[in-house]
Amino acid sequence: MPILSVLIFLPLIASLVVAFSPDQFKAYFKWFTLGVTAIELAICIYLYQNFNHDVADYQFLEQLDWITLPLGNLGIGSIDYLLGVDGISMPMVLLTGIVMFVGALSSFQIEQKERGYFSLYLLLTGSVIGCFMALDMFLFYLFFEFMLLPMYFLIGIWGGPRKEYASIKFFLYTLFGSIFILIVMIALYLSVVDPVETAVRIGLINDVSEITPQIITEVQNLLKDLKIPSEQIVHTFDLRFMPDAGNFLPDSWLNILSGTQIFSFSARALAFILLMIGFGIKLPAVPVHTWLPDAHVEAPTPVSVVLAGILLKIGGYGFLRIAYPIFPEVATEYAFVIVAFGVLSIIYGAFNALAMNDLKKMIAYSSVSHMGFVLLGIGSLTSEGINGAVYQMFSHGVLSAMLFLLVGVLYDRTHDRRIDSYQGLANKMPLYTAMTAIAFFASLGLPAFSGFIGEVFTLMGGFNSPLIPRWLTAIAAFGLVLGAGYFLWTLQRIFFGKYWVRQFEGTLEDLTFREKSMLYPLAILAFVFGIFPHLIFDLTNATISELLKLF
Amino acid sequence: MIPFVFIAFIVLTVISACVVLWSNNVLYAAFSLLLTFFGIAALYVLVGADFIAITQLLVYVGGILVLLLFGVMLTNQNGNKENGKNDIIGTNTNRLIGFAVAFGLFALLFFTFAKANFVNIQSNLFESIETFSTTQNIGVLLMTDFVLPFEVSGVLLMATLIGAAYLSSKTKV
Amino acid sequence: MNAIIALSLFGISNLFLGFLNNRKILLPATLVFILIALGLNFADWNHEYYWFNNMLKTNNLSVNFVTIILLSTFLVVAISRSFGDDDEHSHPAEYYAILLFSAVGAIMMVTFENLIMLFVGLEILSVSMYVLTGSDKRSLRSNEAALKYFLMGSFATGILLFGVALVYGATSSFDIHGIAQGVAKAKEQMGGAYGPLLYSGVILIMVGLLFKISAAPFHFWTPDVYDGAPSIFTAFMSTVVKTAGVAATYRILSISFPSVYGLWGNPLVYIVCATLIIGNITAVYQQSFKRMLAYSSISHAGYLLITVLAKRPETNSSLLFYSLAYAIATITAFAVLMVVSEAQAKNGKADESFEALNGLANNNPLLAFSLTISMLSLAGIPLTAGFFGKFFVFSDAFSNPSSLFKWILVIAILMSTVGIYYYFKPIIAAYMKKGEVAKIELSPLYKFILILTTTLTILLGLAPDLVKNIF
Repeated sequence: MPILSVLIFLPLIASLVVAFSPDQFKAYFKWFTLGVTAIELAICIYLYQNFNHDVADYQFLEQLDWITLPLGNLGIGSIDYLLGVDGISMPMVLLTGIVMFVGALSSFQIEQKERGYFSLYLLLTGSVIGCFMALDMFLFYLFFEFMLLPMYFLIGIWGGPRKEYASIKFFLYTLFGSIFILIVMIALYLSVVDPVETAVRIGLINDVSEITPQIITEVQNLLKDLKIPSEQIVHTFDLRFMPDAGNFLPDSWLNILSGTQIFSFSARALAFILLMIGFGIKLPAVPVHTWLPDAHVEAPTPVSVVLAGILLKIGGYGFLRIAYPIFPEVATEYAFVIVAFGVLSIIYGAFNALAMNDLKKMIAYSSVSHMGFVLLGIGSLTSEGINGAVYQMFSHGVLSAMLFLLVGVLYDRTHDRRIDSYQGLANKMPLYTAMTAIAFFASLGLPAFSGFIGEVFTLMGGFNSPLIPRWLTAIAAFGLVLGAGYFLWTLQRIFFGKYWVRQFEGTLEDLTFREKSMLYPLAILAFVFGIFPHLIFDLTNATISELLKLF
Repeated sequence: MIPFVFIAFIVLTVISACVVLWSNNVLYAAFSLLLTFFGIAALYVLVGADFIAITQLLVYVGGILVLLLFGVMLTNQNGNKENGKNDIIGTNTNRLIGFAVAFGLFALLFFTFAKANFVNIQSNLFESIETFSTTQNIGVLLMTDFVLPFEVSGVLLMATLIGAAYLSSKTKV
Repeated sequence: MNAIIALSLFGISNLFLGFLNNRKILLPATLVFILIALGLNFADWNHEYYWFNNMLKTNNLSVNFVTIILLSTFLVVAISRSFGDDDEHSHPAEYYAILLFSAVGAIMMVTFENLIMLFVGLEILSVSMYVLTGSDKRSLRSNEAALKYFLMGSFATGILLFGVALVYGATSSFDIHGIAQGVAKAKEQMGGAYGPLLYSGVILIMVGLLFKISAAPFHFWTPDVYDGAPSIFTAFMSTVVKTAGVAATYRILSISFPSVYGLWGNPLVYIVCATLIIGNITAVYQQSFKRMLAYSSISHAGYLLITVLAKRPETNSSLLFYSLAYAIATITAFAVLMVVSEAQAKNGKADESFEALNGLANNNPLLAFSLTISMLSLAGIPLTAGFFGKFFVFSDAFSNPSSLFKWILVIAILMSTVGIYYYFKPIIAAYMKKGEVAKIELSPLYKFILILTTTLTILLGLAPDLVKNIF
């Protein structure tokens, strides 16, 4: 069974079902959505169980021809429907399953325009998960752009008072970034050749299945000597072929040997920088992060959860899937710059979080700070660093989901998110306090929780890396202190002292059953992954050591 | 002799065209336009384009200008009641842009013709012309090689006619 | 080619149908006429043939362009709703006849082989549009627009003619292939002597044509005219006229003057950049949906001209695909605009501002959805036809080694981001703003057209190779 396609198309079809079902089923939409995301989660766990830890290459591959375009004297363009997971994408797929399920549970509070909401939510689920599994760059880009639309409407229709501003800002920022990615994608597409299809075209083999490494080398040699007529060349978006320098047309822009200069940059460096900006906006890295606090503040709780839990990870995932393997030599050259931006994000995000009085903004800036560690880990180009970055993405996905749910709990009751509106909540809401404390401690990197592993490994990577100076990593480590500062301070201000809530007369109830069923599992996950880091490292290790061979 | 006649007609054309531009009285402008058209027709004759010269006289002087004068004369004049003068005053605005465009076009054409080597072009690209009437040739060509544009102009006229009839038909407001 | 004859006859038949006292028959009859013309057009498929002493030439490229033009005409006629056949002031028979005649002109502009045919075709199209622009005689804006368009348009035609004359002087031919030979011969025999005449001729021809497709800086008439004309004719103008104009520009530049690329390529680079910047930036500040669409059409002229400029073998298909995607999306947008602005009319005046769309999605999901898809396509968001249009255009620009194209690309990219901002305004209004639009009753044909265009837009976004392989 094409299990990855099921993962994508199940929510897409479910979304259509919701969109076209009559109004009398309104009450069941949320249960239906929950059911679908539960199945998704089950499939993700099944994938996780059956994932072969020792294979570095892509698993569960599915390939179909999708679009074939004759390009005249440029050859043939081929876009494939190509799915697969490897050690980098597997944790992300699992994370998507978890967060989407929790988000569906949290969506029960949506009370207006349910049909639209749940069909968009399912659409978002399908496109996000597709983004993590697509191995054709074009397909990746499609999912990458397409997920913006449901997200845009989810913020824009069900959001807070400044929803229009926040949603269009979110959309414009990410789209601006994705146009950069589009440009690099077109350039890559014009440069990269699919050796397998080309071998079939020029008659070396009769069928794709007969391909052997020798044939690929033969095609690459022919290519290098310009012996293949250009009409026979098959251009491709296939990410599996892009890391191999032999697959680049000899005189193309992005061939490593051609040394094309654009605006006095080498074309490859420029392409890498464009990708970094594109994915950096999504991550988000300072200074292109300003959309994030706005989007979070206006978004309804479940959308915040999905945004922080998954969408930010696509930025980091894009680095590892596209930018780094294709342009390794540029990545080495610019390691310092990338890490510097990571450290800037860590420190700047943390200081901002310290200054914020809005709980959601505080957590949004803490996300910026935590995603800075991802940038640090990736930029270090060491095994610890990149493993730690993937770990940090996973851990932050779980923890930020939990944090935003916790804010949602409070906001549902009082419609007030200001930190200085609360005091001494520990007396009235003991369970809520316990959960918040766990989430805060896990986020600030207390040992035995998942946040610790991610941050420690990225910092280790930073210190071990020969490419970046020690003092830079030392500054990043200072971010940990700041993190502890803002989390503990917030904890103290809200929960300790005498009970007082601004302009709120009723009694504050503790967690309901639905809230418990969302928060408890996440807390347990944070704990389990903190104690057994190999649950993720086993997945990532083989793929990342393979990736590091490129450098 | 010929150059003097040529220059005379050019002066006539340019001066009357300037009057069209500068005059505030539409009637004067219309009559100067007559002179302009006439001057241009004369220039056509002098370059050997007899058919176009005749067409110019027939269509522009005989047709369009008469229509224009009728239009001016039949227009209701409610304008200048104080001094009782029977004139239609037109005002023009945006002189600057008009000047810029006109000057640009003039400069482009002036340099084009100043720099082009007409003798060379004539001898290399075109067969030499015989100096008898062009009317017959044009007639033959219109019925043979250029029969399609000739016919299709019918569609153009049809569309114009419908449009004119429609736009001028009375509508209750 | 037969489509030209057929459409001319059909136009006249339409006038006679107008004498019948049954106005209901006009719309279906016109639709059938267009379909017949479309069928006749396909007869020329895979036949490369010269007609009437090299006056016209049909090949697959021209058949494709004619198909797009006739398809656009069909869609526009289908959403015309018989021009309010209960209104005694309207003259549907005349409107339909003029629309058919203008389609004749447009077809001639994409099949011409002789510059005289280009001129006659352009004139037929322009004169028809002057009349249609002013067809709402009770509206002052419509009258003003018609006069403005007429004066400016005649001026542009004059410039075009002057250019044709100069090119004839330089090459001794009206035939576009003959001109190409003439240019080569002149280059070879006379060295630099051909220069001035040819240079000015090419520039003037280009200016005349660019005026018609409203590329900056010859766009100044566009907003007023598009805004003042009745919406249905604005839809026609911004699709059929634009497609025909770009096709004609491409045809003459790529066939007659490829050997003097520098002559027209360098000015065109600046024109493209100016068009993209002016069209997009000004569109941001518009309060009226219709005026925004006018500026959007200017900006799309810029994208289309990029492919003309790229001058590659793939330009044909990129140009066709982009025109098709643009035409379908624009007509959908106008279809929605027309019904909504009439339903929201204040004091008998149609309300064409963005506010008129507020809360559209609540009672009219189909209209809101079609509007969204068309806007997404115009903005170039993936899974819509417009995305692949932009994709092909950028690919064309990319594979051109000239360094100027890098600047064009940079500007095009920045401007397409700007575009997203204003294309989302109607979507925001329809879905997020508070407001009330009563349920609008649509005729079955209207609904069918909306669903058809929306489906086409998505289908071309999912599988562009369906048509790209034909083009």
